[in-house]
Amino acid sequence: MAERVSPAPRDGQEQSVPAAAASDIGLRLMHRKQKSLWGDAWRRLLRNRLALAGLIVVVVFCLMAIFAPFLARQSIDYQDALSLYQPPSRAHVMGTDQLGRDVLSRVIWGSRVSLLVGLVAQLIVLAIGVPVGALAGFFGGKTDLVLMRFVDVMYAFPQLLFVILLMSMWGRGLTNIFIAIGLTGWVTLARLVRAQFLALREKDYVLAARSIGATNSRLMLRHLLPNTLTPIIVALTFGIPTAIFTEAFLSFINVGISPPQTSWGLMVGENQSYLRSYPWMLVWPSIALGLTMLSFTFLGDGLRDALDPSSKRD
Amino acid sequence: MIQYTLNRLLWLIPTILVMSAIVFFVAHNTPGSPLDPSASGRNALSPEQMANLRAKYNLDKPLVWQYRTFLWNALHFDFGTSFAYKTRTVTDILKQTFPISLQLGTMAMVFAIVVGTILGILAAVNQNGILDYVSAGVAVLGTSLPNFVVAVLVIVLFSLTFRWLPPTGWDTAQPKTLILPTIVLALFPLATLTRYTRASMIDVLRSDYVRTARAKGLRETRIIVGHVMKNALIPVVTVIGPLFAAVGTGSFVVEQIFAINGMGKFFVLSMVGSDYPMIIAVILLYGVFLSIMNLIVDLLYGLLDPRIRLSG
Repeated sequence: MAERVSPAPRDGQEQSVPAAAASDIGLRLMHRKQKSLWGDAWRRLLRNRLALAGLIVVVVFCLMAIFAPFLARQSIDYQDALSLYQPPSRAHVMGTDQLGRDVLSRVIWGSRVSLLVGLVAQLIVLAIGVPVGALAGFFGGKTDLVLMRFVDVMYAFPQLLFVILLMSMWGRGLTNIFIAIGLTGWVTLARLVRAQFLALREKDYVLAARSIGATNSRLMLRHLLPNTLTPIIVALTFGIPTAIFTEAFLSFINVGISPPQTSWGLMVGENQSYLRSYPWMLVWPSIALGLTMLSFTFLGDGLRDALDPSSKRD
Repeated sequence: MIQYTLNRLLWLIPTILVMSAIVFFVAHNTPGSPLDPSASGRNALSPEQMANLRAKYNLDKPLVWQYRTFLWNALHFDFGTSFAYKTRTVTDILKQTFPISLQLGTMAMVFAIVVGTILGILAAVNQNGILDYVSAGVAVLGTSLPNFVVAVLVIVLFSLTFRWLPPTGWDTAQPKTLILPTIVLALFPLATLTRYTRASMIDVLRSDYVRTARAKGLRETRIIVGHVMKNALIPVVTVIGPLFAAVGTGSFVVEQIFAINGMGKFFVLSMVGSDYPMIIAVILLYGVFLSIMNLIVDLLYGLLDPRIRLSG
């Protein structure tokens, strides 16, 4: 019985159109090139030159992070007492620091931390933000009230201050950075998902699905979530540079990554006093960080325009 | 308006209470005890000594009692003695350093608001013109580059290469030292304001009443200044609130890198030395300061746009 009341749109179309017209439409459909939502978005993204440049830089940095052990000429903490404070030269393209460590190698190693923080922290944000927003938006009422009051409280506390507080209390380290950024960063995403779910749950197709007995979890996972994917993806692409920035900021003020691990923020922070005399120690990690942030911004802008053409800025 | 103001004012209380509670309990649940001997390898204290110390610092009292005392003291600006500078109280240090930070922050904020708004307006008026591209460039760079990256590049460029401006310091007697820190700190809010102002201006420029004004034959400058700006700048006010937070946290970095003896620099130093009273005080002060700033911005918005206070 359920099958009869709920024809999937595609089957329904074929049955309801008169036979002659149907074959005609079928023929035309067959010869038209298939275009999926994602294919369309991908094409729009590639047409955007800035986004494409951003994508390329991001891919290059990702490769650099993955293949760091092969690319870096020196291990992360290799010190050469005979070549301290060397300006950029052929042996050390970006120079060496006060302990004789090759700056280029450390910039390569540092890319790992930045990208890892961007990814893992966003996964945590995803794991908290989506369920909270989804439950609040779907069930409404008391669930919504309780969850949203909690979100409001989190929202009132400036995120960066909260992260600093957590890090200064928990101590330095990569895992703590992940957790601190993840725990404080999900609020925006939760609000976004909630708003989307609130709007979607009143739609007729949800009502239709509910009327044929779809369970709540099926409604949420199969009907509402796929339609929320676009804003989630866009939020995540903007969340990654924010997380990268937060890590760099934390490491800069000395509550981020702990040596011997290194990150671009830490390299700038710990070498500050050398800025006047040996600027290359700070300039290269700064440029790497700036380039990554810019690329993610361009990529995020491009993705937003590509996935949701109606939101395009002029 | 009075009810709206009261409503918003009352909201400030739970916000600050929750914030202080978070700060207190996070600090309280830090691994390790302040009673542990500070040097590693030192003899542990006897249980009696531990109990005495615990009683002295009120650590034997119930948690809620401790929180109440903490809150009460904080209300009187008493945050205890700094761990790192054992002869000075936290309030003492803040009294000395906060004015410098306030000065830097205010200058940056004013600069950002003035330049950002003007740049946004010019960009919207010359849409797709050269100025539009310049402002778009400023907006992208300002919002996506971390401020210490900008600081490093700016110092290398203007202080070390061209030698136009001093690389460090903050001295009102030498205005030259004020330029770089102010600009670096202002860049993020400036860029954000430029973006919002432009978007808001363009939005209004397309509205019907502007078309009517054009149809009547009003001069373009009159339309922009008298009709468009009046309405377009109101929503921009709302973004100013969060920008205070950006300037606050940005000052940690800028003061550090330009060697300015403000609160931000001391805060960063206190973090290296795990100076908990200082950390807690600064975070709490900033949190309260930002809540108040957000409140002021909200009230201002309600004052400027009657629709807001009527609906909420």
